[in-house]
Amino acid sequence: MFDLEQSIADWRQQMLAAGIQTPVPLEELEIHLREETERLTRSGLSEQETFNSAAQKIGQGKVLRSEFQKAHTGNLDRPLAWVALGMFAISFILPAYGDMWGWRCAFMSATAMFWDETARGDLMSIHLSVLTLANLLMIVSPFLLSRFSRNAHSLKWLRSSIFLALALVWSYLLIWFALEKSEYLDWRRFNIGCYIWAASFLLLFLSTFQLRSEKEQYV
Amino acid sequence: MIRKELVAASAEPMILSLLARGESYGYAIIQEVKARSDGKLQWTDGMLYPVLHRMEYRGLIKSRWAESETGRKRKYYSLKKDGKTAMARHQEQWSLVHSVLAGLRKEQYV
Repeated sequence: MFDLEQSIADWRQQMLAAGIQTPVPLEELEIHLREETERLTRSGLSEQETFNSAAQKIGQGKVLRSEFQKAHTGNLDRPLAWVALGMFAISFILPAYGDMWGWRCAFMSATAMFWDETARGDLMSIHLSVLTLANLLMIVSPFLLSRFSRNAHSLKWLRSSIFLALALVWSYLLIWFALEKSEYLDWRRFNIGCYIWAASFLLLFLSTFQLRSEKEQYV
Repeated sequence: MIRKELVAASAEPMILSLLARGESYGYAIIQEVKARSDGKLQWTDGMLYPVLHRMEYRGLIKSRWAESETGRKRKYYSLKKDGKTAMARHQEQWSLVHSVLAGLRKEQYV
């Protein structure tokens, strides 16, 4: 004797084993299964036939799981963003200011506010400290881009944040260019690491305009 | 039967257009498409849900759980602002494709 509830319970187990998550989307799929079974039963078929047909139409658990994964995983095919991140990483192991390595400059930037009494509250040191936030944004950018770039609204916010970081980085360099040369401030001492670091932010910003190849799913 | 590629490409505009008429749920969407195409547009039932989830993830639609008149729990989907914009863009593109094809077809009979 066919037991519909038992069959649905078995089907749920198969879906769970295939990796379909509960309560969503498994509940949603089960509701669909029940509705289709009921509709077909009204057309005069036996409960067993209708259940088998409805379950077949829903499809295999493994295939569904892979489609659901695609639906929730961010798309990382923004090559420019990866190039930007690579350049950013390389800039840390290159001389950035005189003979000072990039990582040392980044450390100094993070601690700029605590150098000495005179530096505290100084606009340049505040600006330098804030660059640490720009660095952090760059580090988490692969996650942010994959998570937020599918939605036009959140991408707009992300793009604005990256633009702000870019503006902070480039304005800092431009201020140095504009300042008079002194013992501590000399833009001619900027080294390759510094330029690569600054360029990486420009690339990251441009990557937010890069078109992604939408992989259409078959329904 | 309509080719798989065309079915895939038309899924999003079709869902957006259906939801523009009011909120709906997965099963009803499939039945509506089936009825409107006289069964010629066949979607694999289960595969509709990943598409709905992807559209929700992209901010085109939103969902809420509610009880139907029969007491059954259902997940209802409705259009968001970005979804309306996406729908207008799809409709424009599909109309263009349609008008080009219709024009070419007309020329064949002249």
